[in-house]
Amino acid sequence: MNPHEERGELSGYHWLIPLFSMTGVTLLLLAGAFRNSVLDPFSQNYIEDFAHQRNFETFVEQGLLVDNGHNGVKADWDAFYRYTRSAFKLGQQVAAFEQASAAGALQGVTLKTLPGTWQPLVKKRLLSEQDGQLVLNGEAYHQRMLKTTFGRHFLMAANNTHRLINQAGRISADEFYFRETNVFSVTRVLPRGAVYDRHNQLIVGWDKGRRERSGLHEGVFHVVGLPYRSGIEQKMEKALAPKPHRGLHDLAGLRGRDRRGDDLQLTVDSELSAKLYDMFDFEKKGRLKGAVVLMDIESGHLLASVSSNAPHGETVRGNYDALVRDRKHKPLLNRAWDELHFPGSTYKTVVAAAMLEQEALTQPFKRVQEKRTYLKIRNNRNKVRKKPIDMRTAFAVSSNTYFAEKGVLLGHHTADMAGRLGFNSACDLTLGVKDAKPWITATSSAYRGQQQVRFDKRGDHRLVAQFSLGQNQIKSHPLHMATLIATVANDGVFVDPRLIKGRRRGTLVTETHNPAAFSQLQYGETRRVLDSTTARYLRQACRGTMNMERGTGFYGPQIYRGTVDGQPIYSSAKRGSKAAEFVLIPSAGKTGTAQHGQKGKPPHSWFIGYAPADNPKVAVAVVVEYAGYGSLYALPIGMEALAGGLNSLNQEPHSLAGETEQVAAESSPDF
Amino acid sequence: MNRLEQALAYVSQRKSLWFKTLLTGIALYLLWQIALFTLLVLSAENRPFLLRAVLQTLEIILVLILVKRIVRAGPTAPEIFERRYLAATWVLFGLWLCVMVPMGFEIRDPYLYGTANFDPYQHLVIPMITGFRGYLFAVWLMCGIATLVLYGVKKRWADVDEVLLPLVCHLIFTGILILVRLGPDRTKTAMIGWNQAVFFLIGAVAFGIIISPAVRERLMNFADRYPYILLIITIALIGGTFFFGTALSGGRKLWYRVGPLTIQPIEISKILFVYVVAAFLEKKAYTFQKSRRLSSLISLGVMCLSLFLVLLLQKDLGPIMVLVIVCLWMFVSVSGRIDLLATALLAIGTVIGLAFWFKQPSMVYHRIMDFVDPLQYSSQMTYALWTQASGDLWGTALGMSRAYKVPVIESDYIFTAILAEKGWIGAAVVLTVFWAFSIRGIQLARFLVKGHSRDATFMMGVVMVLFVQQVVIVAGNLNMLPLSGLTLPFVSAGGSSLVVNLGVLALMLGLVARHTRPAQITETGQVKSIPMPIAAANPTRVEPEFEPSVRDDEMVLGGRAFRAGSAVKPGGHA
Repeated sequence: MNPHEERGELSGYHWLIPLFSMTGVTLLLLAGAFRNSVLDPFSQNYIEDFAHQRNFETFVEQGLLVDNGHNGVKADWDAFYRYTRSAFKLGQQVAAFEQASAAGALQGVTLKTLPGTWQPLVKKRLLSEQDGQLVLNGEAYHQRMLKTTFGRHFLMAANNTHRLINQAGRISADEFYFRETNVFSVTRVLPRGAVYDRHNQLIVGWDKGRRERSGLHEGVFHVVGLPYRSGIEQKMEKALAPKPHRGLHDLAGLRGRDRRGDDLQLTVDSELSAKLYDMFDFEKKGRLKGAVVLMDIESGHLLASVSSNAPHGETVRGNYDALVRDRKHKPLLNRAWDELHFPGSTYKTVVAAAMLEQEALTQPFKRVQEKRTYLKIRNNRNKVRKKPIDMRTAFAVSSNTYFAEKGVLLGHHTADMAGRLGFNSACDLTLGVKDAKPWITATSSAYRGQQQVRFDKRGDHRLVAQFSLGQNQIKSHPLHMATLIATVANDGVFVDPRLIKGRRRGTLVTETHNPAAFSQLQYGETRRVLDSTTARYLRQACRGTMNMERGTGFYGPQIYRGTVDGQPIYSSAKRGSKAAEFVLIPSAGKTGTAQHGQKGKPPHSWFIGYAPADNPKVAVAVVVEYAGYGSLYALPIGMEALAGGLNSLNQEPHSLAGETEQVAAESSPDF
Repeated sequence: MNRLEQALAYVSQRKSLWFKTLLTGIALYLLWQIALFTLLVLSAENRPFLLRAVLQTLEIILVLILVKRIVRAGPTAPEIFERRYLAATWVLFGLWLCVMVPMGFEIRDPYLYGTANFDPYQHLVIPMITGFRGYLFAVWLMCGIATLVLYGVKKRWADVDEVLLPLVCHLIFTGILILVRLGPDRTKTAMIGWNQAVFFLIGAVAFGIIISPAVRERLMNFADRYPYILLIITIALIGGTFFFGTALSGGRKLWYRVGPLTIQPIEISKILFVYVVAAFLEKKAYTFQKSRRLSSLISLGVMCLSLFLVLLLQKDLGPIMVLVIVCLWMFVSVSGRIDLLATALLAIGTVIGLAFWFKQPSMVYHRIMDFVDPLQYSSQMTYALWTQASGDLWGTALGMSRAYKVPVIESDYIFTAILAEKGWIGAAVVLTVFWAFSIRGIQLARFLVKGHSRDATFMMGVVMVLFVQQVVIVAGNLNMLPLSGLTLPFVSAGGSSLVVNLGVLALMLGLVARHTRPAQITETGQVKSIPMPIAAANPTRVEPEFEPSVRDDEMVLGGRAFRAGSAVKPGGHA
């Protein structure tokens, strides 16, 4: 029987199965290739590891490659070994050994009696014993140096010196590096946009195919952040990222189409931030943790947002893991708005505002005798004053007893006021900014603890009294406190805080100068949260803190105005310590000393305030963790910040590179 | 009359000076933009990119014409068509090679240009070549000669199909083009390209030998009689690498070294094994279709597993993947047993899952993890992905990418290089060519099924081997499947691979020619086959010593394959 004749016949259409499946699979592959090449899903992960490139730059900078006399370079091996003796650990040890043996310090020492510090040389077999003398094997050292990456690269450069000269006749380490080394780098590491501060000083730029971070000092680190990870770099990724696809050029596949990402102008003042960052070094206590937020009252621009313990941007590369794991200092934690603290007495601003609104209930302007009722609450060390005081005085001297009693009287009214003033809701720093991801701060909370508070219940009154002093269930962060005091200063109108001031188009990759000016972004949204009258009385109270004889901030530093070249210059100094030509500019605010219940540690130190007191321009909030009295630790930083902020508002911006050449720089209209 | 028409009428009737000025202004602005764009395109720095775009477009057109020919043949006679498109492919290759490549190098590496140093490769000295241009020109000429040889022998001994050869030549040329200029060190990869060209010539000769009826018939008859000897040869070839093999890369002994050459036995074994399986399936087709007996299944399983086990011991997973897919495909297309297919797939899935879970062999685990998270696990894949991304739509022009940074770019990752340098468009052309090749192969298999179902199954198996291999390696490159070490047929560097694949092509064409007879076209355009012995009808054919296994009265030409104008030459030897 022939099986071929007996077998069943499949339908003729079954031949379509291979045709269709092959077509389908091929289409899938085409789609996959399209994804990988055009859509480019891994573009965010391009390495920027140019450490090796630095080797070649070092050769040129350190003069290891010298002019050979006839339009070329040659390798200077002596210089190379000399350099390795200063730059590498082993080399340094070798140099030290040579010095010591030349000085005769090692006379009569054998390998066995050699001190332990020289053991690395023995282990690497660089030392040997000949006739009772220790001899350094220079050749072995040279071989070892040549085996390092640095040495290998130098060998490569030395053997190819003719290729180090580019067409313009100059030594060009970059081109050589890209052509010759085996370190992978992609043709498409495209430039990101730069970030400038409010005075057009460069914070982060782009240089030689990598992020240039020399301007990213500790004071602005948390604002600007790292690409894809934090800060502006993350939130404004879409704006800063390079833009590879543009119209006709792209269709034709031409070069020169790749465009830099957009440049951003921040509201922060880089110099001032650096100065404020240094203010957290205290003479007696050393470096303390904390944060400052400085705000322009009219526009909501943050002039500075400094969190102590931030790293410098240049040290982050290759060090990131260590920073993440540093639980002690938490260098990557932005204390300005990602960490919550008890606001302490600064919270009395809220209670005072509530009192002013419930005038009939609390009678803020009537002088009353402080009562003992709630004196025994925790955290209260005040004694009862003999003279009766009103709200403004109580605010200035920060009377706990007074505000504890009034807080209990007010009951849930304080909670309502806290809600209106931004407690229990987070703030979005990039609300309404084009191309921005939301930048949500931590949510400051009031009356939101585990324990349910019954305002009218007698048994809970001690708790409510404690809340009125900004303790227990009340938590906030400097940014929120800054917006709060700015609201008071701005006649009761809340302004959304803003970090981005301007934006402009990036140039083509091949161009070095960007002639465009920054087009200015809109200010934040405003909304009235306090009555104008209430705000006015609150401002009076705040003014008392700094200017009444008994006020908590009276003996702290004050703001003085001097004149240099007809320009007003503000500075902070102790009251009465300045010469007569300096004019005292009254400031206002509230200090706070927030106890946290951790034993054996000093309380957090707070200051919120604004200046000038008559015509508020800038507002500030400072917290210094585990420091002590607010007037001793937070107040000096706050005053320095206010003075700096007033200067910063007056300061003219630096001219941008290339702007002078372009007479009429047009701003791009679409932002 | 609607609003729009009213507005248009209003506009066209206005004859005021302002309006004319406005229109003129707009026109001038558009002209200005066009002029700007033209200038930009013609500027010196854009020249290579422009040329690249032109050449890629020509390539697309060429391939589309070939695809069209597969779907429906035009009025052009097959031999004219084949000649014309072989020449066109070769000329286009010449433009790429002799114009585009030096341009790219001039940009990328102006210092090295023109001073190739072949000293380290004394075993294949090219005495006449003085510079890089000369070298490229020599490669081009050599490819031309090889193409001529291919065309000549095919015309003489198996004049059956007019698109397979241009398609394959296109693939080979693409491969050589990429290989010629891949390296960071030009000398080294220039030698890879040169070797490839030399093996193309050798492969053309091998093609001629295998396609000649004397050899072809002897081979097929031997295979007919002793299929299990083939199986033994297959396993012995692979198993021999344990004792006589050489490890070229990755520490696995997968190659034989014969003098200066290295041969990968799996390339040959794959085809032999597919033949054995095809023969077995056809012999037992009835059993598989109609009965539930397990004995045949078991012998099939043992046959497959014996090879797979050896390959597994070699840790050569790529061919296993390809062969499993192809064997399953053949089995189902012969037996129609979907239930068994499902069972087999389940079993395979379980095996892979267990291997992954227990990390045994560890290679499975590593390959899968490389696939799942390439950026974390595999630097090679990472580089490959970056390189692919640099390609974009049109590719960096030839010589401008950094594809050479990817390890084994010349064989496993050659598709990455294509994607980088010729862009998605170039890659799409290559994929389309493979697709067209496979479709044509299936058409031929369908044609064969009327004559001899064993040969048809074998043909389908061979086509599937090439197609699946291409899919697996391309998908691996694109991180759509775990990557396994396979060559991209006809494209990757590798002498044995190229020669064997050309031999496979010869076998495919030979199989078709074996069952084809010259035809006659009547005046109404109807074709009749001539009921005569093959040898008498076709004077160019050598009388086979053994009688062909197909009886004459079985011969009916397949409808579709025939209509495509491929299998039979109209107006043949009457």
